[in-house]
Amino acid sequence: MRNVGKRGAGALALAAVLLLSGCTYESGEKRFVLEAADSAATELKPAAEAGQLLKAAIEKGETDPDAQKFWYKGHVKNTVLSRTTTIMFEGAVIKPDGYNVDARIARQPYQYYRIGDKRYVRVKDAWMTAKEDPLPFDVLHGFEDLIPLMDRAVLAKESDEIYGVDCAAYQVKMTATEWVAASKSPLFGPLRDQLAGRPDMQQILDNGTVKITLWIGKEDQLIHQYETWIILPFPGGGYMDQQVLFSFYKYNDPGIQIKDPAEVEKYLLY
Amino acid sequence: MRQIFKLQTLCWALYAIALFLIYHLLVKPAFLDGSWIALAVFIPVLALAYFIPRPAERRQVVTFTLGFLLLDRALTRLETDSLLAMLFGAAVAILVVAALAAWYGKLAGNAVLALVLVAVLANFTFNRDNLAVLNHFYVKWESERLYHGEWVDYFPITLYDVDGDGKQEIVTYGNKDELPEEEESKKPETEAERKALADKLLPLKEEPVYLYVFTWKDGHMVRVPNDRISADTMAKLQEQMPADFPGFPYYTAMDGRLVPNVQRQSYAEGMLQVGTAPYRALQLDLQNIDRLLAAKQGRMDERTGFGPQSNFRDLLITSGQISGTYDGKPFSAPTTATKLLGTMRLPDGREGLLAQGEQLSVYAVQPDGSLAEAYTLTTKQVSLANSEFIPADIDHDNTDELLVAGTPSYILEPKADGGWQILWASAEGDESFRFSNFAMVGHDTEPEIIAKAKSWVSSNPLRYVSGFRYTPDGLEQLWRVYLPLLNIQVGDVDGDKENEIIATSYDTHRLLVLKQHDLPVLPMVILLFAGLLGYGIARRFRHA
Repeated sequence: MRNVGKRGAGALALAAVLLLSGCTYESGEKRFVLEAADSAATELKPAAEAGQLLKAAIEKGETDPDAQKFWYKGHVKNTVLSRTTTIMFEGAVIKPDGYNVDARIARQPYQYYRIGDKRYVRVKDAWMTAKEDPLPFDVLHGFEDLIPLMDRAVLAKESDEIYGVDCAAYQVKMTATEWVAASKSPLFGPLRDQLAGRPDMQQILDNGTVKITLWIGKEDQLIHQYETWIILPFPGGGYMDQQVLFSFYKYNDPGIQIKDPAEVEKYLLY
Repeated sequence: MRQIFKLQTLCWALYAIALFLIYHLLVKPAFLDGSWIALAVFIPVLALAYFIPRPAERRQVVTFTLGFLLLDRALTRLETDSLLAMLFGAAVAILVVAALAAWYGKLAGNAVLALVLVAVLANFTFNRDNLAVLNHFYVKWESERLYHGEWVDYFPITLYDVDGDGKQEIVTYGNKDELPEEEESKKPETEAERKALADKLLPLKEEPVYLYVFTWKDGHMVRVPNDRISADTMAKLQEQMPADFPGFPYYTAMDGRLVPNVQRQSYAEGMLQVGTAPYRALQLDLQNIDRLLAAKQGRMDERTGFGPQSNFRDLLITSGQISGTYDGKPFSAPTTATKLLGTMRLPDGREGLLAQGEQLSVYAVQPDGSLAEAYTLTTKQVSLANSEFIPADIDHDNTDELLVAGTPSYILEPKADGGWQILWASAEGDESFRFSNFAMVGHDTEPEIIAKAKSWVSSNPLRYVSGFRYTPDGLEQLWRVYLPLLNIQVGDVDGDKENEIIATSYDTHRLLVLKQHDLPVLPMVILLFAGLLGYGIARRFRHA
C-alpha cells in the first residue's frame, strides 16, 4: 500500500513537472512521408473498358427510371500559397422537375431552388427571384466529353465504397494542354481562342497537370463520384491545387423531396 | 481573524483576485496544454481544496468560488453588439449570481459585493487577451476590427520602415474607415423597399480594400493616412506585402477592390451541370491567371532584392526564364518557377536563391557566372501548394536550414552533396504544427523558432503560438501564448530596439502587438496557489 502511494505520488509529480515546465517536441520519423507513400504505390493497370462503362453509365443515368432522383454533395477546394478557398454544394435532384442547392461561395452561404421554370435564391433570410438567364437543367451534361479521354484510363481502385455502394474507380492523368486539345467541350472553345498567340498562357497549360477520377457502381453501373484535380503554375504563387469533387448517392431514395414552389413563394421578398 | 472571510470585504476581494489569477494563468493553460494529465492532477487538488475549509465555512467558500468563476465567465460572454443588450445581460448575470450567493451560500453582503466587484472590474478594466499571453507577454496594442466586409477571413501583414526612423510600421489591408459597418436592414414595407433590398442581397458584391499602415507615435499606435504616403513608398509597400489571393478564383483583387468573378445563380447552375464542373473551374482559373499576367505584363514574379545582405538583385521570372544580377553580374537560366521566395546561406558559403514552381529550387551562381539548381525539393517530398519555406540558421553554424511549414513540417539541412538531411519532422498525424517565423523576440540574443502547435497531449487541433529552440533532442518549448494567432510577424514597432510579435486571429481582423516581459508569472501564480492552500490548511488545523 505504501509502494502504491509512492508510485502514485511519483506519477503525480511527473505529470505536474511535465505540465508546469516547458516540454520538448521530439522529432517524428525522419523521412519524407509523401516520398515513402509514392514508392509504396503500385503501378495501375490500364482499363480499356472505362470508356464503355462511362458511356453506359451516362445512358443509364439519363434513362433508367430508378436513377432519376438522387442526393448530391460537392465542393471545389482551391489552395494557393497557404490559403484555401472552398465552395460547397449539397442537395437533391429530381428529374425532370429540378433541384435544390445549399451552397457556399467563399464563406457566403445561400440556397438556390429550381423547379420547372421557377428559380429562386435565398440569401440570409430572404428568398428572391433569380434574375439571370438559366442554363439547361442537365446534371449529367459534360460527362460525354470524358468518353474519348477514357482511352488512357487506368483502374485506380478496383473496389471503393462511395456512400455504401461498391464502385470501381477509373483515372486519367494528363497535362492541361492535352486536356484542352483532346476535349470537344464547347466550354473550351473560347479558351482555345484565348490561347492563340499567347505563349505565356500556353506555358501555364503545358506545366499544368489534370487528374480525373470517376467512380462507377459495380452493380448499378451508375456514376457515384467524380473528382478532378487541376494543378497549375500560378503567377507569384508557386502552383495552385484545385479539387473538384462531386458525389451522387441514394439513387431513387423515397425520402427525396423538394418543396413545392408555393412553399418558397410564401416567403418571397421580391 | 477566525471569521476573516465573513468579516472583511478586502479579504474576500483578495480571495477573488487570487482565484481569478489561478484560474486564468494556471488552471486554464494547464488544461489547454495538459488535457487529461491536468485533470489527473487537479481532481485530487480540488478534492483537497474542498475539504480544507472548516465544515462550517465550506458552503460559503465553495459558493463564493463557483459564483465568482461563473460570473466572470458570464460577463466575458456578454453580447457586445449593443450597449443596452450588454448592460441588460450583465445586470441579469450579476443579480442571479448575487442572489444565489446570498441565498444558497449564505454569504454576507460584503462578500457578495466583493464577488461582484472583482468580477466586474476583471471584465471591464483591461484587455482580456492579456490573460492568454500573460505568462510571457502582454498586449501592447490591439486594433479595432479593420475589415467591414462579408467574407475575407484574414489579410496578410508585413512590417516595413515606412518613414526611415528605425522602427517598423505595420502594414496590412482593411476598409473599416472607408466602409461603414452595415446596419441591420429594417423590414421592407413597400414594393420599392422590397426590390431595393433584393437588389442589395442578391448579387455577390465587390468590396473596397485599402492598404492600412500603422505607426507607433507618442505612446499610441495610429494609422498613417494613405494620402500622406508617397506613391513611391506605396509601390514599395505593395512589393513588401506577402503574395496572397483571397477568394481565388471567385474573387480577384484589382485596383483596391475585391471583385467577384461569379454570381450565385449562374455558378450554382453551372456546377449542377456536374460533368462540366471541372471545365468551368479551369476556365475560371485561367481567366484569373490571364488577368494576373496582364497586370504584371506577362511576368510571373519580380523582386528588386531581398535586403541589403543579399547579393541577388533585380530578379525576374518571365517566359520560363529566371534572371537578375548577383554581385552586379547578370545571370539567366530556364525555370518552371513562378514565385521568388528569398535567399539562404548554403554549406559552401554561397548564397542560394529560393524559387517555387512545380518544385522548390535553390539556385546558386556557379564560378562561371551561370545560375544552376543547387538543391531541389519535389512534390514527391513535400506538398508544395500549401507549404511555406523559412530559411533559418537554427544551429548557428552560418549555414541556413530550411523550415518547411506543411503537413508534416520539416527542418531540412542542405548537405554538401546536393541532398537534404531531415533534422526534425513533426509527427505524421499532427496536422496542427506549422512553422511561422524565425526571429529574435524581446531581448533575445539569438533568433528562435516561432511555430503554431497544438497541445502535446490533447487531440484537439486548436493550435497556439509557441517559441522553440532547436536541440538535437527536438524542439524545446520556450514559451506559449494561448491564442490561435496567424500571420505572425516579428519586429520592433515601438522603437525600443526590442522585437514585438505582431499577429492577427482568424476572422477577427484585429491586429495584436505582444510585448515580452521578464516577470516569472507562472511561478508567482503557482506560489500564490500553494500559499492559498497552505493558508487554508494552517487555518483548518490551527482551529481544529
